[in-house]
Amino acid sequence: MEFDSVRAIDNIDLVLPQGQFVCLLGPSGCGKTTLLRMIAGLNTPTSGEIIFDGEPLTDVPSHERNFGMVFQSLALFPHLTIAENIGYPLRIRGFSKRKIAARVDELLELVHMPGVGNRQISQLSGGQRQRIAIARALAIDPKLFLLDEPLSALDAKLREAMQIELKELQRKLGVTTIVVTHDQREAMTMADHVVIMKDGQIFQQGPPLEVYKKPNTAFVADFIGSTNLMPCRILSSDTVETYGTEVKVAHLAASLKPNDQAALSVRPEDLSLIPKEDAPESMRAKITFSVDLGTHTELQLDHGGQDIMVTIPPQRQQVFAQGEIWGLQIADNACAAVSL
Amino acid sequence: MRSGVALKRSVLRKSGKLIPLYPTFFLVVFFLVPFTVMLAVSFFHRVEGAFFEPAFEFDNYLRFFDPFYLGILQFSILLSMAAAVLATAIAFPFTYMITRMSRKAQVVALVLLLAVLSLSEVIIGFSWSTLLSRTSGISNLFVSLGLLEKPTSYYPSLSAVLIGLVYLSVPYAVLVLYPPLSRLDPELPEAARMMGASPMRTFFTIVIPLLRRPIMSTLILVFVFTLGAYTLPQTLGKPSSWTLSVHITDQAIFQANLPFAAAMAIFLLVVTLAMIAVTSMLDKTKSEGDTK
Repeated sequence: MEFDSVRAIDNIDLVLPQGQFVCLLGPSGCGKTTLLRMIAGLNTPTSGEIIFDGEPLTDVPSHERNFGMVFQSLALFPHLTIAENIGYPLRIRGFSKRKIAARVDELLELVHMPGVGNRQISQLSGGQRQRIAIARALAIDPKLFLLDEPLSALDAKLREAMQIELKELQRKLGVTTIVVTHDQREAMTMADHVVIMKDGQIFQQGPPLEVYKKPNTAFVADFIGSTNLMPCRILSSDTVETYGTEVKVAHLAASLKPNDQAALSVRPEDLSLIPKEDAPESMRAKITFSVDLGTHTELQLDHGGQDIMVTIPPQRQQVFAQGEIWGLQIADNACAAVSL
Repeated sequence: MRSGVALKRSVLRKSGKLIPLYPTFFLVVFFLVPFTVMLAVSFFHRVEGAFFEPAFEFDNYLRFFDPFYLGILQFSILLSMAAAVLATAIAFPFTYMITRMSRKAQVVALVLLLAVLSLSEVIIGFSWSTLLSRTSGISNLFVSLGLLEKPTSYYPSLSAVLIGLVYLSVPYAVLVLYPPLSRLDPELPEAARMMGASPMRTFFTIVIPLLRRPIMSTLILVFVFTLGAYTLPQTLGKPSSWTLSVHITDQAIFQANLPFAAAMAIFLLVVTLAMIAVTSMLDKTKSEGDTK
């Protein structure tokens, strides 16, 4: 797929598992929506093939694919009532009025909005519109359920509730689902399988926790969760050297060989603070910001010009004051060495 | 310093009050005054062989209520309605397809369209009369294609008038339809496609209903616009397909009967306004029914 000779999607090879909840995750402009639209048939790939259930899909027009899709703008039809919106795909397929009405009621029940069929779209709140758009996309029991940034218009609290609801709905129906999102928390909450994209290419894919624990590149490590990237040198298949100290790592990106220059991805929870006398000179840092959130304490430190984030569990009644100098200790067998 | 600011403010406030004066001035000078003059003239008495003299009589209006002129009024309204429906039916899919093209292509298409707007009614009339003529018209093309035995003339005729009026109004219809159509969220028709609707079905069940209002405005615009056309019916039509506007011109210029021309013009205006009012009222009650 090319836009004005810019490749939006470049040489992607992706096999998506049946019945799973897949998230296409990446920063804006990474090509994730283009990829979703190609699967939907709304964009045509300039080269390559899309195969669904063993059948080539590339030449099937979108209205013959029998997929359900929730658009970013939701695309509910303002000139139709809620029931007419949900019943639209059934009316197109020539179902009887009675059958449509029964299915619409069933779907409204499914999205926890029974009895609103006669209302207008304009009478609904953002979260309710969301549910109607989901119900409409599921009306025909689609072979594939596609969602393009479906929750981006909702406020944070409602978004979290909808993520869980969407996930439960998908589990209940068992429909293969592909969601496009730029929100890594959303992907972690919902997905069985995440596909991390950047610049039209796939950087890494797998179960969310695996990608979180075993990132292969600095981009993936930083994009999924927050992390501190420290320059390091590979010593062996499980040891790296950073700032003059040796650290045992839990994961080493496959492409890295001994003596390679790489980055050590240290999650804020894998760092702890020790009295500065116990740490070598190169591992001392000054606290620049500290906030106690109750569940944990978040610290920001200046480590030779680099900002370092540290999360401290609440069990210690220790006060970390701004301006103090502490030693940084990296937990062994927790971090990942990633390629730059 | 302070008083300076205050002075500036009061000037600004005063100039704010001046703003409505500008449109008022233009409306009075270029609409209200001429319209009042016309209204007055429509009650004047025509002097045979001369011009007219001030009076207050309803003769001009009463003269209109005769089967001949009422028939012309009916014909004019039906002709304009047909032109409005045809022009909108042609312009709507055309504009929809333009808005689905790339930005660059859209600009080219709109520039070409504006170029057509620069043609006057007279040029359009004479071009079509040539094109529909026996000696050098399209019938010669049909003959060379073997579709016709010998060239014929397609004008003057009612169809020729209608063709001319539609040709004249399509660019205006496109200009009215372009902004709302380009604002239409492309995800709406895409959503219909994803739900199994073919492009045709999407167009008729989603695009057209969503743009009911702009379509109504276009119909009204073309209707009013073609109701006022008098060159095209005159150049392309037989006297039997002359519209009320042609007769108004005829009375005003050739028969020198300005009072009667003015009365007909006012009558046409009232009928037009009444029809627009009824149409928009019907549209309003329908959309109110929608929100219930």
